[in-house]
Order: sequence, then C-alpha cells, then structure tokens
Amino acid sequence: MNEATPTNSNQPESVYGEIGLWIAILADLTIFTLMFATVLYYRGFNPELYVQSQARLDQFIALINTLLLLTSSFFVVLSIHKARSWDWPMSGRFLLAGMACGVGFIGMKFIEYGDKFEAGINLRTNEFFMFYFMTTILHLVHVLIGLGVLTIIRLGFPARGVVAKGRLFALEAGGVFWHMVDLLWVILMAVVYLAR
Amino acid sequence: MTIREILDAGGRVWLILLTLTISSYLLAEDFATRGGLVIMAGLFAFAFIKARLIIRHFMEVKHAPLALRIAFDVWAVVGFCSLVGVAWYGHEGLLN
Repeated sequence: MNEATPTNSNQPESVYGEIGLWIAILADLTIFTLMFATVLYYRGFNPELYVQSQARLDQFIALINTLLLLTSSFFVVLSIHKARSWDWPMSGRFLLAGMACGVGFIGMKFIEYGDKFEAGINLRTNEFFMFYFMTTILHLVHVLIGLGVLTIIRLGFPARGVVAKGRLFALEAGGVFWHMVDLLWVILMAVVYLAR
Repeated sequence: MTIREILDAGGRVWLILLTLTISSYLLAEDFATRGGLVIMAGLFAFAFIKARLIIRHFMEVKHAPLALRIAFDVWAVVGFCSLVGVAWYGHEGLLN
C-alpha cells in the first residue's frame, strides 16, 4: 500500500466512518446513475425536444454552482486536514467556509428555479423539464441533508482544548457524504445541462 | 497555512477539477445545436474523471482497502459505459 502511517482517524488501509456509510454512498451513486441513464434513454425517443428544452436552461448558473460545490468540498478537505493536526479553530473556519459555499449553491438554485417559474416552465411543461426538476430537486435534498450534517458537526466542535477523537471521526464521515453530493452534481451537470 | 501546504492538502486536485469543469463548459458551448456523440462521450468522460478524482483524493479512497477501491472503479467504468451506451442507442435512432 501507499502509506505506512495512519492517514485518518482509524488505521492504515482503512476508510472514514464505517462500512455502512460506504455501502450507502455506493447505493446512492448507483441510483443516481440509473436515473441519469433513464433520462438519456427517453432522450433517444425525441432528441430535438431535449436539445431545445436544454437550451432554455441557464448553463452559466450551473457552471457557477459546480465551481461552488468543488470549492466547498475542498474547504471541507482543508478542515479535516487541520483537524488532524488538532488545529480546531482553523478547522472550524474552513468548515464554515465550505458550508457558506453550500448555502451559495442553494441560493443560486432558487434564482434558477425562480427564473424557470417566471418563464412559465414547471414539472409538467414537458418530459425534459420533468427530468430536470426531478434530478435537480433530488440532488438539492442531498445538499440540504449534507448541510444539516455539517452544521451538527460544526456545533459539536470543541470550544477550547478538550477534544474527543469522535469529533474527527464525525467530521471525516460528514465530509465523505458532502463529497458525494459534489460528485453527483458533477455528473448531473454533464447529463442534464451539457449533453446535447 | 502556506501555499505549499494548501496545494499538498488537495489544492492541486481542486485546481485540476476547476480546469476540467471550465473545459467541459467550453466544450459544450453553443447549447442550442445538437452535438455529436463524440462530444457527449467527451463530456461524460470528463465528468467521470472528475468523479474519480473526488473519490480518490477528497474521500481519500486511495487509502482504502482494495475491495472498496475496486467497487468505486467498477461504478465509474460501468456508469460511464452505460451512459455513453444509452446515449449512443438513442443517437443512432435505434429507439424509433
């Protein structure tokens, strides 16, 4: 293996959290991938409708949202990095920065949905927009859950000095979930916003 | 924190991810016209490469036991092939 020293709160050649977390993540990735394959399958029946409808999406907002989530994930990586050297104040700051990017993502999403509703576009407009709302709302639910988890973890941060090892464990597990939210969005953006 | 420390802690991967994201966006430009299957496959390839970078480096699966590393790689390969396969099927008009 690559590492001789422990790289996380457990042992070498181990992962964050417990095996259940990883099974849940793999299951979630599989469900989303099946959903994306379904979108592409139905697209095959009427590609022109999908291309025309897709042109009414705001790809620039989606780009900004991708950059926000990637940066958010990176802040969480830095937060874990600092927590491992027991620099909890710095770790807490990075975690807040990561959460702020997540809140920014939600804000952009509301602007995007607002624009759509104003243009008279909703779930029932056509098949493409049904898939668009279905996939993005399901993803948004994941963002909200992820932010909730990170908030609970942040609230549990030590005020000073005394730190239980469980704190690092929780931060790492929450981070893994947050990275999954990020990577689901990366694929969603390619399938729903960009593929044509 | 020094720049060096930030880069080593995942900053390099983050920069690669940003570059790939902006490249995909530019590759897909001119959203109103229908692109070829190659462009679509390219976009999906970029997306799954990014996904794998996030898995390996941000989730630190590169340090995980072999079984988990394989599980994620299988997901990435099967996922990419199914999306391109289904897109190809539709693109060739096989559904009509």
